[in-house]
Amino acid sequence: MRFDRKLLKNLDWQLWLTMLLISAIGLVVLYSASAYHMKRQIKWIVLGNVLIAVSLYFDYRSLTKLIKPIYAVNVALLLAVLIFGEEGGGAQRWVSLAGFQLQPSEFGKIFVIIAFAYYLENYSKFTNWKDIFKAGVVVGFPALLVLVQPDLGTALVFVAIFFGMLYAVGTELKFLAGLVGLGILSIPFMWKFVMKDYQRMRLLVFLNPEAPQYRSVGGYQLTQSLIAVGSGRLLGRGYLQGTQAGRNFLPAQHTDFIFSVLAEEFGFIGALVLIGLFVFMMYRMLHIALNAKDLFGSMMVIGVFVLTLFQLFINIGMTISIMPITGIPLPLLTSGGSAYLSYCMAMALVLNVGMRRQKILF
Amino acid sequence: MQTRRRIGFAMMVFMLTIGALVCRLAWIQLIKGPELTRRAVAQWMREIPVEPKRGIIYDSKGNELAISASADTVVALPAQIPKEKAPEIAAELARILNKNAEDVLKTITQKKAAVYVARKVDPEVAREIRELALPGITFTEESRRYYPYGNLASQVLGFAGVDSQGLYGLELQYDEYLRGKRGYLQYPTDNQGQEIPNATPTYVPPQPGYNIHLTIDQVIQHIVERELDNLMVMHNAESVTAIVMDPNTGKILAMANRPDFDPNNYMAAVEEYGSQSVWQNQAISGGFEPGSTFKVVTATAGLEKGVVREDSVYYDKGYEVVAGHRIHCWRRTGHGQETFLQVMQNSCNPGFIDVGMKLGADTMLEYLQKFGFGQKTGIDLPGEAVGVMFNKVGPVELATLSFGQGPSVTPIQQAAAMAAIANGGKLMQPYVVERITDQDGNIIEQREPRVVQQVTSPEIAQRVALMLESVVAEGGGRNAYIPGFRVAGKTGTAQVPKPGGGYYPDKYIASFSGFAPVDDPKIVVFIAVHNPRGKYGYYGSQVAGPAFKSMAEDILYYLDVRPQSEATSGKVQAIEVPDLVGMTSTEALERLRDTGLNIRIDGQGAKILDQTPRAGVKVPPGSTVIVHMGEKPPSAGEPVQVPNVIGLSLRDASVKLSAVGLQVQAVGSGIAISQSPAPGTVIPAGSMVRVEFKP
Repeated sequence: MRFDRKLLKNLDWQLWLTMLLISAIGLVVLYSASAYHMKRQIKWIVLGNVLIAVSLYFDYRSLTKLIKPIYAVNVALLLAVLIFGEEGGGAQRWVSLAGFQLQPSEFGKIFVIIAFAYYLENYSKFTNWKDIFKAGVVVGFPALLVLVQPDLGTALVFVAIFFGMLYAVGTELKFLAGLVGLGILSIPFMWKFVMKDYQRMRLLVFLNPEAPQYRSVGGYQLTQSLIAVGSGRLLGRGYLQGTQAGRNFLPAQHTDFIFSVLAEEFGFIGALVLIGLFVFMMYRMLHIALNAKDLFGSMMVIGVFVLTLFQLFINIGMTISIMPITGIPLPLLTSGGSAYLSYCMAMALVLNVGMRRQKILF
Repeated sequence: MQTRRRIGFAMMVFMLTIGALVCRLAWIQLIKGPELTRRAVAQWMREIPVEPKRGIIYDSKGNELAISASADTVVALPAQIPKEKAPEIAAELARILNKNAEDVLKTITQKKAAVYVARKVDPEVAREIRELALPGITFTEESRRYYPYGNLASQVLGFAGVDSQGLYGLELQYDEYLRGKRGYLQYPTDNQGQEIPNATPTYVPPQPGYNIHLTIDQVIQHIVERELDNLMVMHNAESVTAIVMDPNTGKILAMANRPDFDPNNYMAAVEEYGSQSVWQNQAISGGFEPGSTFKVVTATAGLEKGVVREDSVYYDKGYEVVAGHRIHCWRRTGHGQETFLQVMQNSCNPGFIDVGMKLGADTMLEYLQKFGFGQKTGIDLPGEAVGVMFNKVGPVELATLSFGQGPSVTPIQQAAAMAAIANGGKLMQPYVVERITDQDGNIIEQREPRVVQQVTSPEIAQRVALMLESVVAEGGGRNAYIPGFRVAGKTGTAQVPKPGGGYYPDKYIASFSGFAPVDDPKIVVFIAVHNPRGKYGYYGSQVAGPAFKSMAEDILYYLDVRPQSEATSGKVQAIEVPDLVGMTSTEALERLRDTGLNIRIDGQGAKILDQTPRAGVKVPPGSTVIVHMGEKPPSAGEPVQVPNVIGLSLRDASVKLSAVGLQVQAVGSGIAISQSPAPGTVIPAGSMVRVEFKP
């Protein structure tokens, strides 16, 4: 297959550049939080964007032929976590692969988006609960594997993706409403039988972060995050001038709480700029989704859109105490290879779909 | 495609999500921002407070009565003390500070930013600790209060505690001004409490307290306190109080009490007396029945209302019957017929009852109120008492009230009331702080004299003053007379009420309230002696009068008030000493009191053998007559023991020798330095004893 250079005209440069800009901002903030992790992050950013560039040579339609292997690899990796996994933050999330620490659940989200988009293209008309149930299994099986790691947060990302894509594909509202009802009914069951003590605690912390019983399960973390964000005020304390992160009062400042560092040093304005850039990215994604040449492409972009919005909301919401503490990374900013590279995969899909939105006429 | 149709709702969810984040961020960063910033600072800022220097208290001449010297306080910063070294550091500190090592260890390992190890240590101790350069041990400067004059004006000044907080007296009243504003040394730390290297600590210097300048004059205060010490010793009194006030302004020139304390070591007196009441300023917080000094109020009311005049005649039969009760004069036999002027001079109780009855209860109470009784004077000192007034005045209460029995008043109220007579009828608010200045001498506050109210007209005040002058010149206040000065005053001898009603038979408060010079009063002096138990009696005239004279004389000379040649001294006739030989001491006492002389009793015995000066000699009023007690001299030939006369004057020596029937052979003049035969030798009565005198 030869690459048609004319396709580059259709490449959404704005989207890619925005992503690179956010990545750069991530590096700047990361330097303040941890210079060591910033240097590692540079490697991931270079690698990830090279992979995006390379991916553009391939038509995303070719993925349709690889759906079964992709799904199989995904399940295999998630099972590997359960079998060979390494502990991290009270849960098994990591596997070592060729010398790298890999976090399969991060990649799992992307694999599920691809697989579910393919499923929707072929079974887009849901007329009965059986169909819905089958679709649920496609997403639900890997989600279940993530849930038992246990990684409730990431499992919920799967649920959000599933629901978002079902909605976007035009599923009848009665089915969607039924699913919402089912979800609500499952909450007490999950609370009582599935969730572990620390998870229940962490879900409650944000309601009262300073209560002494929550101190060790995130209360201290959350209090420090609020102090950091709050002391940023309108314009921020200035780059590298943040005291809460700079003097190590704020734990997890280079991973899940990187946003707090940004908000402390660059203030409300800085936070608005970051959120604005994400909003722009998501706007471009919607644009691409609406103009995709096929449902497979469109649904994949919708999946990435939902992923981005959900993670953005959960992660930032967690740092400012409107969402429970879950280990969900902030796309592009949280340091770590798996998170960054998996998001690059998502972006590769989006850019690919956008670039190949038209049938080649000549 | 379905996707397009669903875009509307999706956009809504999208906007809501982003909107929620932005709103919450705005709340946290913009609304809660300042508060959270403070919390951030509180987390990483460590503060070492730096105490301000407490302001100085000056007397009216600029002498420093209370000063602050800086002293080092040892501070530990537990986070900066290496755990393994803590016991060693504690041991070192304990050794130097003379403390228990375990206690010190407990102190310096507390989970606190900074803790005091020892407050305000001596310079040598601080230097020794500094030289050790112990990690996490630092210093802060605090000020230590020092009162250079020790006990002087202790109850007025009060004292400040270890935190430089005013606890009593002026130190408490003006604490806000004296205290200043705390400064601090601030430095940032990380989450382990470790100092951030290279971070510059911020030093916010403390603001020193304001200085206060008193109306009290250190010299006058000294004079007063000297006399109070004398009173305590001479009269074996329970306590004494004196106030010297400028009647024209209300300025307190001196105020003192005994017993007192040394504010440099204010706990010592509490241990000595077993009570903190020694810290209280009885001059403003002590209430007692005023006694005769109160007659000034009755006289003023009587003259102003016209119910009596100086020459109104009254017959004192020794008592007055009020509502069936017989109320006696202090002199049971009565004073006979006397003018109102003489009633005042004699301090005749029935005479005042008569005036009081004519005035009526309402008028009496009105004048009490006008003179400021039953209300605080508002002096700028803490702990002022109101006193106790009658809540219901019947005829008996009215009668006793008119000569000063019944209500309870404070010394400062009495001084202010007397000042109103002295200054032409104005009740002045007394005050002790004249001026408050900052470190650079800029005036922060300047006190001006305040007239509370016009008590009486200048004419009436003048008439009362002249009556009071005659009390000192011719009446019971003769002991207070100062040669060359026109002095007005009134003595008082009050009984002390028992808690259950009635009065103690043997407890008195002797007081004197007076002013001088009468035509241009410079000072009002009030003296109260509680429970004098000495051999000189308990009457105000005997106890407080002489003390007034000694104080006022020295103060007037110090204030450069010159004696006036045309002063009352001309009118005062020298008194002829009566013949007392053969009287009992009690008889002699009464006799001398009538003539305005003092008595000093010497020796043992039932009758007076001899007196000095002898009868017929003319002496100034208030002089002391020494009476020598003894049995009849032994007849010649009887063996007698030679008394010791060394140190006596010729007269005293001869009196003493003749008392035992011996004759004196004097050689030289002055004071006896040797005698022969020696004291204790037994020789026959009528023998000659040779005594050598040297000037």
